[in-house]
Amino acid sequence: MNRREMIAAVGAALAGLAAPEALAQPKPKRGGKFVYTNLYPNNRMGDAKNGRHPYHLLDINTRSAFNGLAFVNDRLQVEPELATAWTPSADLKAWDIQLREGVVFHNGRDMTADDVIASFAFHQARTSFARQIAKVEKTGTHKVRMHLAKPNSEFPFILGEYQLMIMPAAPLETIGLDGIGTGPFRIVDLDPKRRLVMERNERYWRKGLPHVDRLEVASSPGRMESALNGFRGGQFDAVLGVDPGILPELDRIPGTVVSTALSGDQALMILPKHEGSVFADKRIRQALALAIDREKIVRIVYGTKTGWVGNDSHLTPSNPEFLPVTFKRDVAKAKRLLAEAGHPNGITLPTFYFTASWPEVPRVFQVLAQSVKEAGITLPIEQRPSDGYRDWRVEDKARTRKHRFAYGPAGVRNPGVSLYRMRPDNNESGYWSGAACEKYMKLYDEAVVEPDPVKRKFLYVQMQQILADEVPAIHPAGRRNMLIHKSNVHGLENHSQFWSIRFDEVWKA
Amino acid sequence: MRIDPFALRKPAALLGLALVAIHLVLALFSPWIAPFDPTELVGGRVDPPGGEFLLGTDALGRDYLSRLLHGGRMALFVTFTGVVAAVTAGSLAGIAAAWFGGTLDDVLMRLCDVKLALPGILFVSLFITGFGESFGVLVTLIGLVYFPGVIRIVRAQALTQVNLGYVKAAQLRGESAFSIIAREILPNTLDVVYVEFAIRMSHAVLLLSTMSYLGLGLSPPTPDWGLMVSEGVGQLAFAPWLVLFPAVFISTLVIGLNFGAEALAGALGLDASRGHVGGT
Repeated sequence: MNRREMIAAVGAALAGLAAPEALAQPKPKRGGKFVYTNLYPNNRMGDAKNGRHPYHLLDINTRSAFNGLAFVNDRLQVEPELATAWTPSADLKAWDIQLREGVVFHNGRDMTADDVIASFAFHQARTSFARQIAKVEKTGTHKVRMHLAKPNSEFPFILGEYQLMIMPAAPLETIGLDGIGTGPFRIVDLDPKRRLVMERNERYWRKGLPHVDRLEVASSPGRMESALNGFRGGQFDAVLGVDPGILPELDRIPGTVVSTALSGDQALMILPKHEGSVFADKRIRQALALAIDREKIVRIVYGTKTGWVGNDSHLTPSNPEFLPVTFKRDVAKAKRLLAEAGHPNGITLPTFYFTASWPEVPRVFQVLAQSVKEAGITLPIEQRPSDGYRDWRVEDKARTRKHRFAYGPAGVRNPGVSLYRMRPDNNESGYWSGAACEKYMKLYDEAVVEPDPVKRKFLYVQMQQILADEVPAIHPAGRRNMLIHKSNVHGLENHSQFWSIRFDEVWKA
Repeated sequence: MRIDPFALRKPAALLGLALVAIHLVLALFSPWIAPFDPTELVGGRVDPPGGEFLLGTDALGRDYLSRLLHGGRMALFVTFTGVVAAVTAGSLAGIAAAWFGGTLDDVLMRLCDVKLALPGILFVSLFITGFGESFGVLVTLIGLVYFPGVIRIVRAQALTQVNLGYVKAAQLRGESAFSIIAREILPNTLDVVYVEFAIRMSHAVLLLSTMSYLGLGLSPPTPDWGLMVSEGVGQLAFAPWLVLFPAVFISTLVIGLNFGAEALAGALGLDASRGHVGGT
C-alpha cells in the first residue's frame, strides 16, 4: 500500500467512525439475477394469449412490469408513482391528477395523459374499483381530471390498486396484451402459469434502479415443499407466501432471512341471514363470536409472530384505523345467549364450508370448530376444492340472495374499500339488514365525504364498534404475510398486500 | 366352490391376512385403544414422537397415534361400504347382462365403456366438485368408480356358466330366471366376486388416500391417512414422521389386502393377475 492509498484508507475508516450507519448499510451492488418463487394462488393467471396483460401477469406482481398512478405502502399510506400530485374538488367528486413527466414505456414512447385515459377506459369496463370513475378528462399533456360518480375522500388509494396499471394507449381489445409498461423490468419470456423472465428496464423513471439485471419468477401455487427444496438447493433466492405455520422450523435452514409484513389476508366467516337461517338471530351470531378462542387460533396456527386477532371487520393491524378487539372470549355469555335464543342445550350449526386458498385456512377452522365446542356449539366443517369455489359459495345469489355459510378470503385495503364490503347488498355481509346496518351505512356515507382523516377515523371506529356488536360476519384471525430470502439478498421488503411487493430495490451481495 | 387350504398357508398369504387382521382390530377398537380424542388439541405444535405422545403430535397439537388409529377406521369404513356397493350392484348387473343378453347387455356394456373411457382422476374431481366431500358422496363415488369393472369381470364369468349343462337343465325344469340366477349362476361366480372384492378393496384404500391427499377426499378435521400425508408434506424436511407414519399405515393395509387377495385367489383356484383358470 502506498502513501496515497494509506491516507485514503484512514480517511475512509474515520468517515466510518463518524457515521456508523454508513458502514451498517452496504452499498447496493448492481447486476446479477434474482430468482423467486411464489406460493400465492393466482386464479387470474393468464394463458399464452393474455399472459402479459397486467390483469393476468404471472403472480400478479404487476409492478415489476407496470406502474400505477399511485402506490400503497405497507403502512397503507398512498405514495405518488406515475402521478406526482392529486387535488380533489371541494365536493370530492373531481380529482385533478398531475402526471410524472419524463416517464417512458419499455418501447421508448413517452407516457402522457392519452395513455392514462386509454388505460382507464379499459379499467372502467373491467374492474369494480374503477367503476366509480364516471369520466377521465385530459387537461394537459401530463394532466388529467377524473370525475367520480360519488364523492370519495380516499380515491387516491384506488389509483394504487394493482389492476389499475398504466398501459400504452391502444384499442380496448388489444391494450396491455403486449406486456409493455413503465415498470423496472420488461418481460422477455413467459411460460404462462409457470415461469416469467424479465430484464432491467434501462429507462426506468426511478433513476439508478432496478439493481438486478434479470428477474425470474417461478410459480409454485400451494407447492410449499417443492419451493423450500428449491430454496435450500439454491434454485431460488426467495420464496414468497410462505406458510406461517413453518416459521419455527425455518431456523434450521442456514442463511435464511424471514421477512413478515404488518398484516395480510384474514379469514372471513360469512353468516347468511336469509329467512330460515339460524344466523338471522343476532344472539346466535354473537354467541358464536364470543365462543371462538381467537388467541388460541393465532397461537396454534400462526405461532403469535405471523398472525393477529381479527375484530370482525375487514380492517387489519396495517390500517391505522383498526380497532383492536374490545371484547374477550366469554363462554358463559355465549351459552346464555344461546339459551335466550332457544338453545339451552347447545346448538348444531349448519356445515361451514371453506377452501384452502392459503395453506393455513383448514387449520384455522379446525381450531375454531374445536374451540366453540366448549360453549355447546357443534360446528361441522367441510373443505371444498378451490376450483370454482367462489361461484359455488355465492349460492343462487340473483334469485334468493342466499349465501352459503362459508369462508371467504379478505385482503388488506384502506377502510373506504374494506368497510364498504359489509354493505347490505354484498354477499360478504350475508345480506345484512336492519337498523344497525342502516346506521353503519350512514356512518360510511359520512366518512367517504369527510376530507379530514382524523374525523374520518372516528367514524370508522364507530363502524367497527357496530360490527363487533352486531356480528354480521366473523373475522377470527389473520396472517402476517411472510417471505424468506437468502442472507445475501437486500432491499426485499414484504407487504401486507402481497400483490404490492416490489423488486426495484432488490440486490444481491 | 372348493377352497385349497394350502394356498392360505403360504408366507405371503399369512403375512397379508395378519396385516389385514391387525388393521381391522385397530380400526374396530380405536375408540378404546386411542389415548386421546383424534380432534382434541392436547399437545404442543409438532411434538416429536416419544413421551406422552407416542407418535408425536401434528401441526395443531393433536395426538398423532390417535389420529392414525381413527384414520384406519374411516379408511376401512368408507372403502368397505363403497366396494360392497360396487361389487353387489356390479355382480347383479353383470350376471343379468350375461343371462338376458340383448339390449340390456348392450346398454350396460356401453355405459361401462363410457365410464372406463373417462380418466379416473377427472371423474373423481368432477364428482367431488359437483357433490361435495361428505361420507355419502365418497361411498357413492367409490361405488361408481369400481362398478363398471366389476360388471365386466362378473359378466365374463357368468357367460362361461350360462351355456353349461346344469344351467340348461334348470331351464328345462322350468325354473324362473330369478331362480336360475340366484341358485345356479351366482353361486358359481362367487369365487370371482370374492377375489374381485379383495382386489377392489386395496385399490379403494389407495384411491381414498389419493383423493384425500389431493383435497378431494375426507374433509378436515376427520382423521384420514391421505389427508394426514397431505397436511404433513409441507413439513417433510422438519417433521418427516408426519408423512412417514400415515404412509406406513396405508402401505401395510394395501400390502395386506393385496397378499390376502392373492391368497384368496389361490385358495379358490383363480389367478388374481390373469383371471379365472380353475373350474367349478
